[in-house]
Amino acid sequence: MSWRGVLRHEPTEGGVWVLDTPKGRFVLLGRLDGAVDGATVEVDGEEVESFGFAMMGPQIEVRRLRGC
Amino acid sequence: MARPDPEASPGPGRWLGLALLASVGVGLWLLPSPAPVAYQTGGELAEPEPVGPGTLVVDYVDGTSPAEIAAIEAAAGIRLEWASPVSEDEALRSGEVADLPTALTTLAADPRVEVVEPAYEMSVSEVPAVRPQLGYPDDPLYPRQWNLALVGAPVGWRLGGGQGVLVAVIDTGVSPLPDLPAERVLAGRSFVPGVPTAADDHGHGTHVAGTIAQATNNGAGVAGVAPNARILPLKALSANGGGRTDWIAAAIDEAVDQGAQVINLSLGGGHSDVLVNAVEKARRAGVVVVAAAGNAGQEGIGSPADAPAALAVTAVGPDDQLAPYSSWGKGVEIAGPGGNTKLTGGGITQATLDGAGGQAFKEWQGTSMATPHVAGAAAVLLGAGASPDEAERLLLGTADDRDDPLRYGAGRVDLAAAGRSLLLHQRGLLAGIGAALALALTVLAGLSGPARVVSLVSAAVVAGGVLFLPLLPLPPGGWLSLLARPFLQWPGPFWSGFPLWQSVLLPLVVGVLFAPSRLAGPLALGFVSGVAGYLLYGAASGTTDLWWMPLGFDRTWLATNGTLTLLVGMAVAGMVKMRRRAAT
Repeated sequence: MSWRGVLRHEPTEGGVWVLDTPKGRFVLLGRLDGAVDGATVEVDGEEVESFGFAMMGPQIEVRRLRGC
Repeated sequence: MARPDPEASPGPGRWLGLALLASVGVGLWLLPSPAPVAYQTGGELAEPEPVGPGTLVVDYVDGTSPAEIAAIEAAAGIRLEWASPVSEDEALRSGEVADLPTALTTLAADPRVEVVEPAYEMSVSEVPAVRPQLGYPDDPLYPRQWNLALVGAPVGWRLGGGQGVLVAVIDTGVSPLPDLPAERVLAGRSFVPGVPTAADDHGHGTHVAGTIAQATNNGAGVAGVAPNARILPLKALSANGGGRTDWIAAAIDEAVDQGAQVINLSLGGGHSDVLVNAVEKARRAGVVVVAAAGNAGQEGIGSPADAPAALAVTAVGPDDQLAPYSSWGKGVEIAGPGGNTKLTGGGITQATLDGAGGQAFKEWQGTSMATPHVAGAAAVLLGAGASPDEAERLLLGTADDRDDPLRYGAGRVDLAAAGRSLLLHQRGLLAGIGAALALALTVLAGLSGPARVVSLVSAAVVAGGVLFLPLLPLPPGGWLSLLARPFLQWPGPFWSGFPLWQSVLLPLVVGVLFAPSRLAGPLALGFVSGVAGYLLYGAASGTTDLWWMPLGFDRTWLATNGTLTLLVGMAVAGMVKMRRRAAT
């Protein structure tokens, strides 16, 4: 699946990348090389039935990050 | 006609004893909570803020000529000035530039540039720092730990700092560090497939564990809420911070099996029946379970915080108000300091991994950071003799109430108040029972006057400890820590770890040895009364856990030995009476 939204780096919990989309906020898991706070991106990945320390919303296991 | 009693001075002695007991009680009420003194310190740990857009500072290689510097800057399309009138020798220049990122990139590529970076403004802390009391603790970064002062951690240290309590941290793992020594951290277990050990591969779990049990007063780093507790690391979150509900539920079961008395869950997600059930099972087994409310900054908390048996924790910042990121809503039980890194010095500073195999002190925020303050406070209360139910009642009953249960639950955790309440109610009761038994036995022995006072006071101290000591701003440790505790809670491998410690054995020995002595007889009577009171209270309340006793027999053992100790006390009283008769 893919999601389009704005990347945000939240300072909470030592720093967490999230994606703000029209459907709400998603926590991004995995390598996010080249991520830039405030950039509009398309994220390819999989929503995982997962818990974590971010606790800001559903989590996406990121496969690829594309700038828009 | 009754013979004159050579040791008696009836009346005044009884009143003196009562006055002593009363003064202890009044002292407890009147003594103020030791509050930290605020002062300002630097804020080197906080993220520096750039001075406006495009302010650059460049340190050229020493010896670079002014002509070369002018050429480099011209090529980069900038014109800087010497950073100060004496900076020419150091080739240090600064100034405004139109395109900061491009200038940074261009200059960094030039071998004649030693360092180039945006100019930062180092600000002083916006959060008042705390001052150690009488030099305790001596951890150099303690002044930044406003959070520990806010929850009253110093009282917790004087209550034993969680001595003997095992706290399970279910997280990304926990790695021992110089400021979180290996002897405090058990081996633990990993529930993440493919990860063999519970070592931390992220840093989150180590930071959380540090808030609970960071080495304190070791002359290095920072302090923790319950520095004498031990940590059981159970890794249920992978290096990227995620984990499955079955891993977390299995970790909760493991914590119970390993004998953890507190479980810290600085994690969460949507609702999960599996997690709720695991938490309920753990609580039924007598474990205090503490869970983070979440960081969505809106109403609604997920699992495991939504389990009725969990203490769900929201976060407050240094202003003691709900932090903007904290989730809140129905099911919130209590709040703790989670920090606010938007304020310089406003985060929670603990030791964690530096990413290169070493230790770093990082200032983080989150309900994950709030949760271990409550877990640590629970560990302190359990270590000081509270039962799990009592610990929860004390935490909720003494929290700093905000009259806003959806955001703060019962209020912000206040370990100092909980500790005072424990001293007053539980230990005060213990001391009272000990003194009451001593009073009865001194009547039986025919003791009065100073001898009776000695018996009453020694019984109260043996049963409940010197009640007011933990409330005085004295450094914990040594004899002060021992005297602050009931005698049978004294730590040590040969004392409280010995199975017959909580039995009639020691009172019997003391009674036989010292009852015939004129001077030591009243003390022996007090000692026996204090131990009898402690054992009988443990049998009646169920607060005493005998680690070596099969489940369910603790109370029978305590009741039997308490009764036997009381019989020993009656025998000692008889011996004291006979000795006095013989003396007259």
